Amino acid sequence: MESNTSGRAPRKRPATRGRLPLVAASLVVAALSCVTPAARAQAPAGNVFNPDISVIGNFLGIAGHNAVDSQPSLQLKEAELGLQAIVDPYARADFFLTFGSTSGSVGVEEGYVTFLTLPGDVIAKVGKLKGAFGKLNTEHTHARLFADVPLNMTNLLGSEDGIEDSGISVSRLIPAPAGIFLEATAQLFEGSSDNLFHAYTRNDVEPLFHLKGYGDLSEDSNLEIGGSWTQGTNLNGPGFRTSLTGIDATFRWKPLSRGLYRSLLVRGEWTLSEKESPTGTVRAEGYYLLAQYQLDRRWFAGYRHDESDHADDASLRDRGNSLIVTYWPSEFSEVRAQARRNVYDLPTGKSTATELLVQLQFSIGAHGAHSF
Amino acid sequence: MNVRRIGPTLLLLIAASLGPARPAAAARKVKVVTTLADFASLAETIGGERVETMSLAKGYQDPHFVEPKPSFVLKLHDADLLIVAGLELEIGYLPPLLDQSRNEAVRPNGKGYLDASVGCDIMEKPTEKVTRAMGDVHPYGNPHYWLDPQNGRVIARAIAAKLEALDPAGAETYRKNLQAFEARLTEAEARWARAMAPYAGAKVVTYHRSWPNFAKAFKLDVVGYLEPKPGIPPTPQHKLEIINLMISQKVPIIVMEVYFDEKDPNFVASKTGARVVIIPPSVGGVPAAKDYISLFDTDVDQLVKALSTAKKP
Repeated sequence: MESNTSGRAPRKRPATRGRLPLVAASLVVAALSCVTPAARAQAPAGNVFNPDISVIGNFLGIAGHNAVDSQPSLQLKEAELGLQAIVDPYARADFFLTFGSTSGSVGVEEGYVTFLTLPGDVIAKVGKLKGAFGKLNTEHTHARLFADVPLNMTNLLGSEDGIEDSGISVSRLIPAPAGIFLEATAQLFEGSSDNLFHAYTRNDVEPLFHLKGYGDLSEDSNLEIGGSWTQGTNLNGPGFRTSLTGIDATFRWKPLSRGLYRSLLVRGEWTLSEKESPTGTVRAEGYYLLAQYQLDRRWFAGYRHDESDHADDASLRDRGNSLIVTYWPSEFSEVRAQARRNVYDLPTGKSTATELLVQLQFSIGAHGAHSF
Repeated sequence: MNVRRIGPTLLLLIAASLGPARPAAAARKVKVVTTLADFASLAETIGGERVETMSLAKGYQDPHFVEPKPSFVLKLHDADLLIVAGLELEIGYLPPLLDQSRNEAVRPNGKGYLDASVGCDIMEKPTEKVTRAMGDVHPYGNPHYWLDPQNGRVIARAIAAKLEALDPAGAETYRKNLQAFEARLTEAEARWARAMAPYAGAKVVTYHRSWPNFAKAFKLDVVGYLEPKPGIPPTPQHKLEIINLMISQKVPIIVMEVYFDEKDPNFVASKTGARVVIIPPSVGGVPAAKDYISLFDTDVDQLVKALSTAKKP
């Protein structure tokens, strides 16, 4: 497996000039759509216009041996600083800055402006974004239901962070039969994501499309299905592309009158990577399946199976199984234990890693609620 | 930029900005979405045939923990009026729904947004600096204020005024229905006061801090809570403290919302001889609580039954 801690692809400065017309167009559309500008309050003293500030700490301890993915025994894996506020009557802005476990690694995980009042039921985002590729790729570390990420993400989406790039996103509701939520998202990225895509020229932009369908099966249960596709230039050199196709499905059950104590979530995500290289195209695929059951108000138990080919050699396939127990002391903290057994398929033979991951997450400040 | 590769993206961008998906607002009912079933009931009472109501939270659901389902995005997208409890009761799910709703009217400050707490008697406004060490304390006051009929009257008036502004053609209907509702409420308040009069000042323990407005309106004395802090489930130590408190203060009943687990209240009741009264805090919490007035009928009825037969521990 490719380690994501080494060999970060050199990043080029974003091709701002090429994107300017689109940005300008979005701004003009946003300005035109002004219907009812919110009344401005009298300029007050103090901090009322300061953004909501939150910090989420993610502490991870790992015991056991892993010859392939050797992370430290104890680490503050990530500290995420969130700054969120309304910009003006037309837009809001969200910044998530992450401070990683390796000293000095500070990054803008996401930083974007969202235009909420565009005509035609359109929502546009401009900035650095997590690509709308499936479910996991859009989630911040602290929102994930496991302490690590499944093999298809590390093997096929490049790293734990996946597709995370500067770009523009436009999403629109699609008319559908009553009660069905259908949303199409089109994104255009600069074309650089760690260990996955690299834009050698301004032409190497990365388009991404996502279609999300959701329906309530009953008051207590619902089903969400998504399809994603993206293509960018890969690290094999100019002209070599990787296409990624993904399908995700989530079933949720939560009896409303006992929703504090019982729930079930079953989710699967399948990823196909078609990576061009000097020797031909490698077709690699992988998936994970997760089931999480809520045992009591604060206790959750989960099981995950994940397996994935290597993006550069589809004859090698890693497999993993995890048992996960999560405890919520409150809404603002979370303790998770994950017993994980991964069997890595290496050219030199199989390597088995049995590990215990213990994660403690804690949040302070006003962190905006997450969407479903 | 490579036109061949950007082509599809641009096409989608253009397609996306073509004509709105929202149906033209013809002569149709005013679509009212509320976060609580109580507001939906009031809006229906006042709007009558002219409105169509839908509540995001059900009466038998904890109103703090509603999931931001995409189907709610569609409801908000089509809504003409959104009525919220405010005071951060909905902070865990409503903001992302509104951000995705693509409906400017129902966003805060929009013409179709109504914060029902405005003008209501709000209790338990923190007087000291709020920290999360206090549990899930709402920094603007207790958001369960709809459980005071006088606040219900204030909310009903605000809804009538809002509906009138959104649908001037229905002004007369709204005024007439509001008057009729207020008359029925006044009559009901006298009925409830008579029923509760023998138990004025009765001491109760409640599960969550859902009932301060209710207790004030119906002259109950809330002396403790099963939750050690708001939103924190009962701990063994706290249960012991509550048992001692109930015995020393001779508390005859434990009032509990319909959506909590009965195990802890039943345990405390078994040690103190008190009675557990499970009553709905919202319309629809039980089938009998079918509208705002029958919600109080149900609650008062259950309380009177329990208080009249409870033996003091």
